Amino acid sequence: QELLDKRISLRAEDATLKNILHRIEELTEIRFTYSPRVIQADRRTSVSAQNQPLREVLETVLKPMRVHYRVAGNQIVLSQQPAPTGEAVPPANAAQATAVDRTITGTVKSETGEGLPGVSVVVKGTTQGTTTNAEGHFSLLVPDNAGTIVFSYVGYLSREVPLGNQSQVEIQLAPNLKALDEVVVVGYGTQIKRELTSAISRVSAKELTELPVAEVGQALQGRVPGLTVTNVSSPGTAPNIRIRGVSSVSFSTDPLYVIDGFPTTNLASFDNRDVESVEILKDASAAAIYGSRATNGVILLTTKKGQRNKKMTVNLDSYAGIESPWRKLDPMNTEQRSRFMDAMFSGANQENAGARPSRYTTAGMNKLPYPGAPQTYAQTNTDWQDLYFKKGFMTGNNLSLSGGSDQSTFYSSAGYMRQEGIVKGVGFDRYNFRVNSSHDLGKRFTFGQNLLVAYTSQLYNNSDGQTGDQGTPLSLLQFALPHLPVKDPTSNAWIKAGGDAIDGHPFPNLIADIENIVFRRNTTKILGSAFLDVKLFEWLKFRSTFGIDYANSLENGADNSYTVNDGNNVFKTNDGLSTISSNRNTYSSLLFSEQLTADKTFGTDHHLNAILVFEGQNGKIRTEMMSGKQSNPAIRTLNGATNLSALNALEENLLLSYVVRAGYAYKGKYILNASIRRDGSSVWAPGNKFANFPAASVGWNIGQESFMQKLSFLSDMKLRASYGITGLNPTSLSNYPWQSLVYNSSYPFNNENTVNASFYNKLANQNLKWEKTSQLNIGLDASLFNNSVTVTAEYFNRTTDNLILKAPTPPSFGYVQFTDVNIGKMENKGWELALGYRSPGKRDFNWGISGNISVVRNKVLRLDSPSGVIYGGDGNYFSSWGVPVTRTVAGESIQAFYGWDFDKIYQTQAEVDADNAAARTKTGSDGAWYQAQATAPGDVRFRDLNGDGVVDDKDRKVIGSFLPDFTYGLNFTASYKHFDLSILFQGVQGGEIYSGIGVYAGAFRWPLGGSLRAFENAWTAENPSTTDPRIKWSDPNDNSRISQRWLQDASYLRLKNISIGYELPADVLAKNTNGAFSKFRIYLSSQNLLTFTKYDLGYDPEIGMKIGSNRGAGNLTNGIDYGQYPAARSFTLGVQLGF
Amino acid sequence: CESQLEKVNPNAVTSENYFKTAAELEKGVNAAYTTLNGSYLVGNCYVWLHDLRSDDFVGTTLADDRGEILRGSLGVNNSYTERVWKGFYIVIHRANVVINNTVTDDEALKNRVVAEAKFLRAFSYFELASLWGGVPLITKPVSDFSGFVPRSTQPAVYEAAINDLKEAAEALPSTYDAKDNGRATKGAANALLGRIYMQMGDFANAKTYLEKVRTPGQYALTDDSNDNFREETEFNKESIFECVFSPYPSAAEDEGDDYAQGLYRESTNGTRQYDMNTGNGIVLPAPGLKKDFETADVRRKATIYDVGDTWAGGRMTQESWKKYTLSYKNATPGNVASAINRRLIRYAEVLLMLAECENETGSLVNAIARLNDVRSRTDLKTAKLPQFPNAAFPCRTRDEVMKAIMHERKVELAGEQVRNRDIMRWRASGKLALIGGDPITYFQANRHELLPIPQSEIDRNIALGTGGVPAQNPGY
Repeated sequence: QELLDKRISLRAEDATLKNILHRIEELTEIRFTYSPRVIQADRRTSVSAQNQPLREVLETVLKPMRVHYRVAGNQIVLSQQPAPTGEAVPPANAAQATAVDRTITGTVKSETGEGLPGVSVVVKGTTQGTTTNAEGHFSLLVPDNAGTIVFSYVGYLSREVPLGNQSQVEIQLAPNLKALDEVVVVGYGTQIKRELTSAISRVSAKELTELPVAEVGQALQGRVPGLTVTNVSSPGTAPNIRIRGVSSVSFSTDPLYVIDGFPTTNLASFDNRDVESVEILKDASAAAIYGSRATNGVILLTTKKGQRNKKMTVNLDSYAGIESPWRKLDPMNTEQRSRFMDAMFSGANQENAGARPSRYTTAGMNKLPYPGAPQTYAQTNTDWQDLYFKKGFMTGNNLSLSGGSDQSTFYSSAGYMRQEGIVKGVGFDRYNFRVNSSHDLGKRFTFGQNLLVAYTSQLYNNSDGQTGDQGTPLSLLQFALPHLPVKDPTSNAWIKAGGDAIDGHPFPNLIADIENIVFRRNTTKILGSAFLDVKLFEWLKFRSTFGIDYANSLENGADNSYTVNDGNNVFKTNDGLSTISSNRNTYSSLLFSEQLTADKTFGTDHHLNAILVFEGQNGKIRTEMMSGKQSNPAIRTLNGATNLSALNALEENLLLSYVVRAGYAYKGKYILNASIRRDGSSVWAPGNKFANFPAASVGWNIGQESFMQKLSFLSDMKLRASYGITGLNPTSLSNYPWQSLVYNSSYPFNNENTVNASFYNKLANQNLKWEKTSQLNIGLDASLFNNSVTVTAEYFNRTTDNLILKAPTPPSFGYVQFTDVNIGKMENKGWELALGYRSPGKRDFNWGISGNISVVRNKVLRLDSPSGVIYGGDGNYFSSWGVPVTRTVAGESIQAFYGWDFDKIYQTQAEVDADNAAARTKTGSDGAWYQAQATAPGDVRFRDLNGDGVVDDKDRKVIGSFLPDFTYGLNFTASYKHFDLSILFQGVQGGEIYSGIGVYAGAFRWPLGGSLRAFENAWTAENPSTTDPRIKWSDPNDNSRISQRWLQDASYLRLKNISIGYELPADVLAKNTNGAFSKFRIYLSSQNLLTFTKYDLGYDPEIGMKIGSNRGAGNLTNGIDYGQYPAARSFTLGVQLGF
Repeated sequence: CESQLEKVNPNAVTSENYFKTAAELEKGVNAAYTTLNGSYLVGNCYVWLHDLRSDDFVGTTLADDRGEILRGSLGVNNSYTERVWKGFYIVIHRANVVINNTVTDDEALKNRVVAEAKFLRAFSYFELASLWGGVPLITKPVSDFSGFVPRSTQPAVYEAAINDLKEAAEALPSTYDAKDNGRATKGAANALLGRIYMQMGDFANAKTYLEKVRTPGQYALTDDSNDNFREETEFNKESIFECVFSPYPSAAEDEGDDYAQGLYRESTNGTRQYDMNTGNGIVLPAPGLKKDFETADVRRKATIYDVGDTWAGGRMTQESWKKYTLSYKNATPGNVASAINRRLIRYAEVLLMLAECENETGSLVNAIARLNDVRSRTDLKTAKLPQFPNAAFPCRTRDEVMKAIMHERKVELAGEQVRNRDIMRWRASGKLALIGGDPITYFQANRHELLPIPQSEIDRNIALGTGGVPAQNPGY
């Protein structure tokens, strides 16, 4: 009984027993188990102990109250003495009892079959009773005539059991659902989950921290139905997140992020491990409370807070691991590439090709790449892909402290994370600190604050996201030449291709560029808010919030000159001058929000709640761009630089909002919610600044109806429906989108350089207004078999109207820039299903499984621009020089892949001749060719879709779409004793990828590209391929034009995460560390361990869109693989410690 | 609090608040000149669109859309035709802004800049109408998304240009202070009137305005033909209207997407100038052109490099263009942008236009006199290039004089963006038989007379086909 020997000091006057016990708990870490009612914990008493053993204190306090205590493990179980005159009778020791009538023993279990400790067991109509022990067992002496025993426990429905003659009682208590009501975070407050009438998904802190990722968004992948997350670039770049489809043609579809009530951006600055929960507001009734910015959905992040009256807990959460690419492509080696050049420059293939590049001759290949080289070109075999990819170290660490007194709470943390990435020239580091606290000032006032300070540093490749000949590093990698060494170690000259006539092409040395062109973005972010809560009445509260969001992003670039040896000449790039750039982007935002919240239950049946908000948030964006030239590559600043240029700009915006929401629930069964938000934004022209965003929803807790309660398998069921209107954040457009600005320019009269010209380039549009989405949502929540199975199903239909497009005016108007105009309408509809099962009870082996699936169908309903067509995704090399890859028109889904229809490979000249003859007949022109004059066997035959006899621009059709048929996630968790396992699968089914990188690697228009497979599959007379055309200089038949040839199924199934952990049992831990540690868990996990996909023309099937542009062409490039940084496979080892 | 929602853009003024003073209007017209020297027009595409439709050039390896122009296979999506179309309409828009804004603070300056704007608008409409036929005639800045304008007829567009030029010729000064070198003058307006009337077949009116340019004391031929194509001798006495390119090294070759870039250089130089280092000759003088020059004609050396000729980098090993290239002073290989101003109208051409007008409506004697004026240039005299009539060109009949005029225009003005329009004019009047038929070998009637209306205009201008003129020209 060591427990009882602990010495404590305690002083309380006229305190309730409950309070005194609670304070002892705080002092000793001992837990009391009791039924407050049975021991009448509201009784008041006084105690004064100075360094006394607990045993004595308890005797002093409890004995006069006739409360018996007994030690069970780390708990002290309290029970009321059965009779006022009797002695304390330990029930476990019934033999010592006096005045025995008879003994009833038994077990009380929870709904999951677990033994329930501390359940009050009382003979009805008396004060005679006991409580269950830690295993749920009890033993009670009852008078012979006792009729009924009452079992009661907090959070459970009481049960009365008639005794009869039995001496053994085994019962199960059902939870009191009303008391177990969970609270869900919604916009501007919380709601009881049972009264929720909108589509909100919740992700827990545990799920969020399972993956070693930098950004909250990445952690949500596969977790939430209706939410798709797609990787777009290297570490530190936000993924592409979409809630319920693409809701805007022109603008980014990022949801609005609200952290502790503060709408913000830059989530990479934010530590997942500080998050308590994430709520995803999907339908309009949930999101419309954020009105004008909520069209893409809202993600609410609630950070961890301390708890009142809780001893300080300290947690350390750390992992470290390695990530690497999971797939590489198949570049040709030197010998294979020589054979490729033979094919390119032999026979009919080389017509018009000019001279064979001088390198690809025996003499050329036998030269030394540089003086003193240890090997000839022929003997060199550089695997540029291996040089570019690497293994990357990653680590994440978070130390947090939290706790609270009865007046104050705090949570504070410090974090560090590093992700080096899997290619050269990228990486991400983050340092972050957080302090959340709250303090009661008397009974009515509470003051609190949340503060995040973070510093991130991202090393990024400046050419990532580019297209065309100067493509992304991964696309240029396809052009690398294996016969070139990387560097001459003696002269430090980087080796570069010598141009068309020498090496076949002039493409750069990728490694040299990465070593010498370095871009880093350092961001400091401060996000803080302070609030004052005033409790005006028990049911009416006022909150005033003031906050600051500040992000300062500094991009430093050094494009250094370096020495190049191209086989002919040794020279310095950029004429020996480095270009230094220093760009700063500062965003500062102030938020104030005044909020009145009412919540009152009238009688027992009418629950009313309402909020009233007035708030304002401004934004100031200051950009500064400086650049200049340095002759000394060692100088990385603009100090003493020449050719200096500097630009700066300031933009401002303001959003003023009025919000009202009211909810009414009758008997917890029938629920009605309605809200309206009126937003005014400075972004619009005078007269169009304000708009209203209403929403309403109803819910029916059908499971509470008596006729449903007969269905014993059904634990609960709710039907709900909502409708509402949301808007697109106007600052997506820019801050003054309706204006037409006057620009300055120069004309050199008399050859002189003066700024002397002014002009404007576009039509102003005063009528520009919000893109608005109306959304209908119908949902069903059900839980079955004692809540072990949960189901949520949703149907939604969203229609976005007033889509803003850059209206292309006719060239004859003379405007260069297009103007933003509201001219489109689009629909996204679909359904979502989430199913979960959790094994009941707490046994040695527990398991659970949950899955989700979502289906979205997109259709553009209207495009009122004169042509009614928007094209996207035109690059250079991969799309036949500026031919767009995607087309958006009314009646089809957004940005469908648009190209020629691959029919077959011509195998004989007769087939070609027949087509040409038919072309002449149909067109009536003797000079007509079906495709091209040069078409020959081995070329692709495309279909003449319009039947005019020739294949031209008019013979294109929709050949695919990036939009999947459905997306899904599957999560399996299990624990056996102290081991735990978590497996997350995530997948996408249907949809296509247009592989730009496939074109780079295997189009072979010129001696470019490096895919061995594409080369070996090419049609030749000996290899009459039916899928891959012949290799032919300059591709006169344009075999590599946009067609199904570059389109592949985008489906994939991925083992996103698998994690195995072991947690030391608490008692072992306590014994071996003298109580220093309260938790020790160690785990091993792997991300993207397995990927099942048919996509093999690129590095990864998870293809986002072109980065670096949140509108225009960038937005209509989803599913085009420009050579995107791929998702990596990683292995991490982690430890979680509690003190 | 809600008044705070009115935010003023601190970075730039807006179109509503500008062009309120004569000085601002002057900046407005300067911006129209800026379009002229950008890459859509004289800085690049305009030059190719004219020259590659002439018989002065060959270019077997000329790829992209320029190759289509050269081979006559261009379609509605040809980017060069589209950019020239766009470029001229940008000039027109900027000119319209100047012409349609009322200011009262400086009447004299306002009158001059409006006249300059009218000159530039007329220049643009003449180019558009002569190359595409009838085009949308827009005379005010478009302020409404649905302000679509259908095609007018070619004569209507010519007439609008003529009206602008007559007003401009009244208001424009004959000369400027040196700092304004490059602005449109009275002489430029009259010379352009001559061009337009000639293209319309109205030689009498053409002669009237061209004679105003011939008023003694205004313009004269330079002594050395080369002086018209070199950077050091810009704004000389022969120059009537020049497109100015920036001599500053930082000047760009391209406007960029927002067109906010400032100074431009001419970027066709690299393609015309044979690259002695790589052996890339992308366009070359047509073999026929070389033969056209008479033996004593030193203009050949101003136009073409023969093998063995000296250039800045040594001796030529390959025939190449010389006119308007930097190779006379720049030995850097590759694609170097040029700052040589392009003389869009020069006095020699005015004399040759007059010769043609005289031959059509006046006296053969005067026609021959104007031809001989051109041959009286000092370097030609020194080289003893024979005057007309001579053995090769007896000049006894109007047709024989016409042959001399056609010859003289070809050799004097080769590669100066006039040959294309000459062929069109002579084709229309049936004169090409005099030089052995149509020099454009790919020419198909009912197709190659005019350029295709760019698809982007057809797609976006829904009124295009509604004005009586079909949306697209025949053959496309």
